Amino acid sequence: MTSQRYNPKEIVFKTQVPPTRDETLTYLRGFRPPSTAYVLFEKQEIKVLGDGVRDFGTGLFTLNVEHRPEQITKVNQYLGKGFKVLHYDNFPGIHKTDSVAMRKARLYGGENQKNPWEELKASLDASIKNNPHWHVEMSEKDNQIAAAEAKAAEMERRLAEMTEKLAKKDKAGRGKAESGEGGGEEAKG
Amino acid sequence: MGAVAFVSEFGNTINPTDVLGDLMSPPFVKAVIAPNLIHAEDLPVRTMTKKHVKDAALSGTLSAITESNPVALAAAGEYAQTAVTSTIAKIAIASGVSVEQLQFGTVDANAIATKQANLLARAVDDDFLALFSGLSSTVTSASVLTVEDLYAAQYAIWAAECPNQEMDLAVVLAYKGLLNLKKEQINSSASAYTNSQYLSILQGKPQANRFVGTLPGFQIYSTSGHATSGGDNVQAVFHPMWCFAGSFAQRPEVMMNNKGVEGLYQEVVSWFFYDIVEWNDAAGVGLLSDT
Repeated sequence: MTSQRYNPKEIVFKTQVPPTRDETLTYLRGFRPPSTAYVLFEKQEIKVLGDGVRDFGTGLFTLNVEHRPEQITKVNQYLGKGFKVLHYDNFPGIHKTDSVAMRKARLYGGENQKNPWEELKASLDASIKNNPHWHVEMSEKDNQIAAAEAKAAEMERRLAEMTEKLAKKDKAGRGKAESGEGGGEEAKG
Repeated sequence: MGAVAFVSEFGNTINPTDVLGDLMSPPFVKAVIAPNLIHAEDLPVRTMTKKHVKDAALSGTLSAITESNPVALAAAGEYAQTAVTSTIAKIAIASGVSVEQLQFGTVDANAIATKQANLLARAVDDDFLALFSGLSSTVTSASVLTVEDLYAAQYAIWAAECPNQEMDLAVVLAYKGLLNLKKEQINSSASAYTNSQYLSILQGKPQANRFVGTLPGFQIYSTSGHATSGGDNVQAVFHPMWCFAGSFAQRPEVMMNNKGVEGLYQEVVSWFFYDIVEWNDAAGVGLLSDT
């Protein structure tokens, strides 16, 4: 996973899990993620219009977990409201190259160095994998990979056939040449 | 005529340097608004989690029962509470003051601890503001914020049958949103804006907690640090009693340690235990308007 700290206005921020609705893409266009640890949700939104009409749509919700990793109850609360985890990033860890993130993980890890962000990360990963949209997306990707693999296998088969044909042709040509040369010698002899 | 020689000038004497002015300007940081606008409680005892319970009502359609027929148990008669769980977490900040600074400087460990307490308070506030974009209902301004948008939000909260509708709703705006409300009042020729009730935010001065005035039905606060979404600030209109709940330590804790071999300095560490949660989604509405 790469950090996309700077995101120009026209670029759609690439999330770990694609959003369920195209409307969310408009909010992800030019979205600048926080430089601190965060979880990005796609939220289900009830849009109240001026005349009291309600429309249903989506939006983005960023949960800051920089100082407070023990927030799984909050994550669960929002998942319960129908929000979907789209992305998370910048979690402190003792193996991070960023010294501040490393120090923070040590400060919060205590004596046994149990990084609380790791627990949150595990829960988020589980949530992402339970997202039906993620499954659809992943199965589409699996299909694409399978199609690419099938295409590659077909190409390899054709390559093998052509190599075989060439080898046969080569062999036949060499045999012909050898027999032609032998005949000449015989004639000379 | 040129300079006269042998006059005892200012540079001929050894004068004090770095003399400080009588008044130091304060830091330009935002004020804390959260504690007054949420339901606040003490920390739980012997556990780090607390359930903020939501009482339930019995609901369902009742039909008339003819004489001598029994009343059966039904879904409408089942009572079930729900709750939102808050998990108390700590925010912490560490600073060090060198022995040179302690001996010769103008800052001591107590001053640093005070600064740390202010920073912790602002972190709590940021957490509070970040909850706004988690509210399910939103009102999005056509471009800039208008008074009408506030009333659309009020409508959504009242239509959800939020209790205690006799109370003013709290509105936490970004400064741009407040500016747009003021501009609407200045530019409008509507007679409502000759009414002093509507002019409070124009006439009033911001208080220490960033309360800036009222509109009928609303108490308005203005601060910075709101989340943004698609070029909009995510502000909120909410019921101050029922939308958000929090548990807070009485005050930040401070630990001061003298450090020797690590570098001869005094370590100052402050931490604060708290949590703020969205208690009732239907008691608040996100208010999106141009940044």
